[in-house]
Amino acid sequence: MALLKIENLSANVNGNKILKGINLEVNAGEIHAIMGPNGSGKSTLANVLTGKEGYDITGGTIEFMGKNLFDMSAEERAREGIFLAFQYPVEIPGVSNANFMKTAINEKRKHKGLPPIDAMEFLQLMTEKAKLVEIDRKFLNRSVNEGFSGGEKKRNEVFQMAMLEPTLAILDETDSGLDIDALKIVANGVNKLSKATNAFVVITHYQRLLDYIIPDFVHVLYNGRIVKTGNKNLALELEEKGYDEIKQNANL
Amino acid sequence: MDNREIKNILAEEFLKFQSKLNGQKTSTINAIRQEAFNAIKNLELPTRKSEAWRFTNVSWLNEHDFLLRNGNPDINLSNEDIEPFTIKDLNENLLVFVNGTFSEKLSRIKYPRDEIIIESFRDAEKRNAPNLLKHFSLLADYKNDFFTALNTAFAKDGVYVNVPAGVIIDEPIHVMFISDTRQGAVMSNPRNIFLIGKCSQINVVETYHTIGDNPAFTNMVTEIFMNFATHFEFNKIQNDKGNSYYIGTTQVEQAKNSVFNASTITMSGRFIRNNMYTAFKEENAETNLNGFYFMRNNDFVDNHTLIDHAVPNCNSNEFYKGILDDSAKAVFNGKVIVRPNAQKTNAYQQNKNILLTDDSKINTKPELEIYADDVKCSHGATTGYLDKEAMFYLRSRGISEEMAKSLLLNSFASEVIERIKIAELRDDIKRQVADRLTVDDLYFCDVLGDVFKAIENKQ
Ligand SMILES: Nc1ncnc2c1ncn2[C@@H]1O[C@H](COP(=O)(O)OP(=O)(O)OP(=O)(O)O)[C@@H](O)[C@H]1O
Ligand SMILES: [Mg+2]
Repeated sequence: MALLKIENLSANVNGNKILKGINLEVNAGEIHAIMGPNGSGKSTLANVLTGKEGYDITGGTIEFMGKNLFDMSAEERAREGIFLAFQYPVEIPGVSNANFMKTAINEKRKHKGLPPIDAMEFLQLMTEKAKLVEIDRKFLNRSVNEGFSGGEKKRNEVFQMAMLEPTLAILDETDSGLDIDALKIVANGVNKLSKATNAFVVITHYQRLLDYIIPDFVHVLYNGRIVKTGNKNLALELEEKGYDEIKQNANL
Repeated sequence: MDNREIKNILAEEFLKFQSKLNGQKTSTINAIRQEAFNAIKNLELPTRKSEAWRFTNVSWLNEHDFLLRNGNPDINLSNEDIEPFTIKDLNENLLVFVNGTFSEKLSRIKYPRDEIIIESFRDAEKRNAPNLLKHFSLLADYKNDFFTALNTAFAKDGVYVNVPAGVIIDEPIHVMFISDTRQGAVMSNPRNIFLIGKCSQINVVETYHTIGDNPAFTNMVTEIFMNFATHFEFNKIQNDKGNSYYIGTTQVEQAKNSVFNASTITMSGRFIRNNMYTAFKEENAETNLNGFYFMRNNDFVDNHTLIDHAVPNCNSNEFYKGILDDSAKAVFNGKVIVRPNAQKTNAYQQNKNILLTDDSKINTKPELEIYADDVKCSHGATTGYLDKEAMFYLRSRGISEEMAKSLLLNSFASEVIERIKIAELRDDIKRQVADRLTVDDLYFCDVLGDVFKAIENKQ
């Protein structure tokens, strides 16, 4: 059974057709890259998958581990194992990273009928994961993303991913705004977390990320549709030629 | 009941009250009571037509028979009765007033009287305490303000504190105002006076409580005189029943180098009007007024502040935040006067609100009157709903809507609550807010952050 199965998905935002029939299947153990020009609908797809409000699903189905995703609220999807690393992480003044993660973990545990995590166990987990993404532990006491630099915010997303150990992680341009060292750290984090039982969907504009995270599939999303799928070489090709040819073919 | 009827009842009550006074009848204090009573005759009950009461309706005064039971003293309460009103680890100095009358039995005062005077207004009046006679009603505007006049005319008890120079009172003084309404509606008129000698420091926590199901109306006036280099931490904690009514005026006068910090925390009450008026009499003084209100149901709170920068080189900072749920309503009115010679004034004011429903409402209004040119003044007011992006971010990590809301509201609140200087009180208020949010884990989470910090610092 596929982990994620999207069939003919279309969605509107404010009456505008943004997704126009997406088909995508992701199996456990796979890494998929989604590329495509600005405004093609990549973040929209990610938001629809995570259950953000404000999207009007006009057709199609999404199944996650055999369950209809549209029956689940955003928080239920997260507890079932879907995670989105935001393109633009949100600042939450007054809520510490540690508090945030502890609440998230306990909400998930409650959902699974488990007791709250032991305080010491939690501290250890946090220390371990902070090391994995090489995030300074003093960030954990700071308010979520408040005053973080662009790169720090992205690393914090990967830290949260490491803490929550999702089954399906969607990274929306997590590489944008990262310096080369941070990029390696993030990629390294993803590779360490990647297992036979989980999967990653990596949205990116740059082939350079894919030097470190080797995708099994590369998809090109254009104008609300996946117009081309290939292996990692497709990313190299796009890097060289740009999207002109793809746009022309799609517009025929 | 109309205005005339109320005044007739007050006249009868006043005669009764006067007949019970013995030796105090001819004192200077009683002369002022008489003046205040005469003022009432000519003052109208405030209506919405007057600017200061534009959003604040006191018609409830006509609906209940408060006035008939003025000062009905029922002091048969036990320590057990007041136990729920105590604050954990904060019990060295406790002054309890029941229906406006001091209860010696329920109170305990740690400081010996000859060094520091902490006693009831009534005792101070009985022994003709010279400083009480000298300061009573120096600040309170009993000639023009209806409720201040009412309080002054009927003033018979309250807190009297006279701290000599150079004393730091670490243990906060908890003043509990209890209305026992089991025999009917109660009105009380507590009158408090604080005189703080040079370089002295004092922490006060006031709380208000109703026992019984009838309505209670507390009409309070507090006068605070701060000498050179004094420091006053003043905390008003309002978490009373849904049929409690409160109007309180606090009037502060600050000498050179004095610091007045106030925190007004309002969690519930049918009607609450806090008038917080401070005036700088000498230079280099500072006032910080913090406020947090979190109202539900049909509750109402109105914070009216006035800071009078009468002299140069003083700082004032106002920071009020509020959360309004259900059909709760709130008013914030921050008036700042910077007089022509008050150069080098810094005056900042902020009021931030979150409305949780369409029926909740806030009226916020800065009133800056600036007559000097070399000053720094700013004000800002925001009103909004919960941040949708933040809500989704939290939910996308598996946090339920209810919990996400609680986290955001808790953090919104803590920005003010963290400013409470008394640790025991701060913890108590944090707990009250966490309870309100029905998230028992929240408080612990904060503690966890501290544990982590401790581990961090050790390494
Ligand atoms: N709330 C909205 N109202 C109207 N249009 C919207 C809204 N949100 C997204 N869109 C439009 O949907 C289209 C797809 O946006 P989306 O953010 O999914 O693109 P993207 O592929 O992630 O682009 P980028 O590479 O720049 O991140 C864009 O044209 C965008 O303007
Ligand atoms: Mg995008």
